[in-house]
Amino acid sequence: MKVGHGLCVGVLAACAVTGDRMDPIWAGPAVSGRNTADGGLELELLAPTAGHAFELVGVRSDGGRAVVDCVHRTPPPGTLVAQVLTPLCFQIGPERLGASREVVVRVLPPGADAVPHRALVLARP
Amino acid sequence: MIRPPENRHNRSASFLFLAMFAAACGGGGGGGGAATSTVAGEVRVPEVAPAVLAAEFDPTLPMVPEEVVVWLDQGKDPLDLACDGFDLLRSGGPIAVYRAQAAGGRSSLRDGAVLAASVERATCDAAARMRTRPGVRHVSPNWLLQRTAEPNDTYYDKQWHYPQINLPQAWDLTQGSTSVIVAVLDTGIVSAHPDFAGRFVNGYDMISSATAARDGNGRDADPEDEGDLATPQGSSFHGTHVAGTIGANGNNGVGVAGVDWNCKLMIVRVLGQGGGTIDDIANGILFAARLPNASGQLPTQRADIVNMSLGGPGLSAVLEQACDDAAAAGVLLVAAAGNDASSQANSPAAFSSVLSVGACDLVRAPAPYTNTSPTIDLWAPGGDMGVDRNGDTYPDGVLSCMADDQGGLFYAFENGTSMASPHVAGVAALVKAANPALTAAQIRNVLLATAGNGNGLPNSGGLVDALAAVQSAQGGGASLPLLVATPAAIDFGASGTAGTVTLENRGNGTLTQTGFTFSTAAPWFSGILSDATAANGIDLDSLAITIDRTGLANGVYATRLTIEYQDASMANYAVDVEVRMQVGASTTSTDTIYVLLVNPDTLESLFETSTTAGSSFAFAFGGITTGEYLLVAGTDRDNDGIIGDDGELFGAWPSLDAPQAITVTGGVNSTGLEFGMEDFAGVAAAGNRPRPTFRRKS
Repeated sequence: MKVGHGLCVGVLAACAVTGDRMDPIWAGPAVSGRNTADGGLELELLAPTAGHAFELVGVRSDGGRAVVDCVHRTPPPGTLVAQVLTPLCFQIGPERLGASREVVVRVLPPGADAVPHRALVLARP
Repeated sequence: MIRPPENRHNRSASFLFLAMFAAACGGGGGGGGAATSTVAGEVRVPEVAPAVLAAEFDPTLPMVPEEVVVWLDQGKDPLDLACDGFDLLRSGGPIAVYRAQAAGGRSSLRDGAVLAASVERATCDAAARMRTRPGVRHVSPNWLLQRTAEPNDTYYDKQWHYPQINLPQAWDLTQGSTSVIVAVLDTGIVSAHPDFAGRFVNGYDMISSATAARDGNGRDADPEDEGDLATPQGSSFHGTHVAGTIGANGNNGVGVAGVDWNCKLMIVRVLGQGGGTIDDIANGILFAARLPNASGQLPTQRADIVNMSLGGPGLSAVLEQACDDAAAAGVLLVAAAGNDASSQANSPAAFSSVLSVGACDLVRAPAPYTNTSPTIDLWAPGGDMGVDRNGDTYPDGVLSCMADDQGGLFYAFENGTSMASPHVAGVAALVKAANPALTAAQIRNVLLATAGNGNGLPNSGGLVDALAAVQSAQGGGASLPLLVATPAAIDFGASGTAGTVTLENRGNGTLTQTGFTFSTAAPWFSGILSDATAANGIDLDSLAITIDRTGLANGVYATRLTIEYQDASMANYAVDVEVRMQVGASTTSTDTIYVLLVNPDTLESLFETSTTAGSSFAFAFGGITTGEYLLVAGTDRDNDGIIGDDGELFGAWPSLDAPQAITVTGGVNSTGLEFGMEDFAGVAAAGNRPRPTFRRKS
């Protein structure tokens, strides 16, 4: 039996310690993350409907902190989609996170002039 | 125009027939000369069987075989109906029970069942025939009503969302009907899923983009779900889940139960990779409604209900027009209100012609994601996968059929207004099954008026209540008017030209008629509405129907007549009547055909033989003496010794319009005599033309 999402979420509320502190707070669909057994990270965006996309843009690591940038795309205007909540997730390997002790996850919302929004900060084991 | 009823022993008619015959043969008669001859040929039976009501009862439901229960009009003697193959079994008050008459140890219904495929089917057909008799107010097979055990589907105990809307109790009243079609406009279907066996009618793949469709072509007749790659993990197979909620096979010991265990599913694929376009979805709606669309294809029968677990922000005028046209064609449209946790209006749910459905969680409260637009009409379980409030170790989603891109077939929880909408569509199908006479507008009224209280629902509709809705549809529950047409379906056969539909309010609410109209697109149909009230205050509104076949090519013609009442409360109530007729000839009859050689002067029957379908209606007389004879044939269904009565088949050689005498010369055989009969068994005999009747020789 397939059972939907339910990822454990370890969220350090907005407590980033670098310049990313100035990023606006993400107010879109819920983003959650968890550390995987291999030292990597799994991120999930719970899209309200089908037709959304949640993809990794890049990872920057500078010692104790990693910044993960993602993009969220909504269905194109005029497109009708299934009205089912849809978890969208991907994994980031441990090699891309290096020795960072915390991970800041930022999401670039739809729109040409959009700026990254801070979605969550996770501590790494 | 309605012609006056014909007297079956109309003298002028006989004179007319005689005059025609005399002009043709110059008089004379049989009986002269010593040598004898053979007269042989074949009788053609009319293509259309005597007009009967279309099937309206479900033979798959438990019943007492061969028994029909009738609610008689006041003052009607139950013995008056003890004919047409039925004996009065018992009666009391207005209710009488009839059983098929025994003949030679075999009941007439069991004989008829050879043709009707089952005794139960024959019982249903007989009940439909009984309904046409004067003095019959209601009729049905003698159903066996019993508390239905909860379905034995493997995962039924995880379907918390059905008890929430009183569905198990509704299943005691109806589990759906194969006559009801629900269209599922979605991602298509994984048709191999075992919980859908036997449930599909022809659908369509309306996705015009080969890329989005992922099937290598554009629109085609195959609505199989090729996958939409909705997430990096795979395709959603959303349509399979939605269709499972509407109509997964119930009580089959497998998987899950759907809301309706019997309805037919018309799969219309409109969502592909990335979603669906207005163009494809609008055309999908038109297809389901059997209206002209870009595919150039139409289903054999339009859907009664369309479910759309899809949507998007903004209101598309093109989509709204498609919804409006489908609703005008008699389709009930149901759509998901949207998952944006906002009050925004989504297409198509927000259109006035569409029933908009918001989502509740396990405690009947609005789910955290559901839209709360004022345009929401109803609420239904959509689940909340973020919690497990019932402690069954599974998230509180809606459990239904699922598949994966690797060909796996299984069951899964999902949540969304996508899951709420099919609950309402399924309940609508049960309502239609409970009362097939209800129009889409009436079903909508029933669902809205019977909705119950949720838990903190916004003031925009209640929680759908399957039991209350079905009870109301059957005339029992809420105080609602219920406009019913009797009969709900008329087949005029090949020769019927006139009939009457009676209109009455069988609901518990008051219906104060301030005007009524009817509409149909069929040019061969005309009608006159009559507004009348009986002395006892019972409304006797009726529609007199006249059929005109002039200039029509041979074939079957059908139309859906919609009669609308305007109520004093400014509400409109509508009821549909299916009307069918045929132009031209002929199938097989199970009647015995009596063939007579008649003295053309006296119309006395001199020789008689009979034929049946078993002998291909071929006949042969031997030992016929020299002379002139009129050759006629017909049935004697009422066994009164007379052929050619109303309600019987009748014909003459070479035609009924211009009969001719056969000259028999001693020792010379007359063979190859073919002629046809006409069906004088239309809905009303009023339109039948004059003809003589003949007494059988034996």
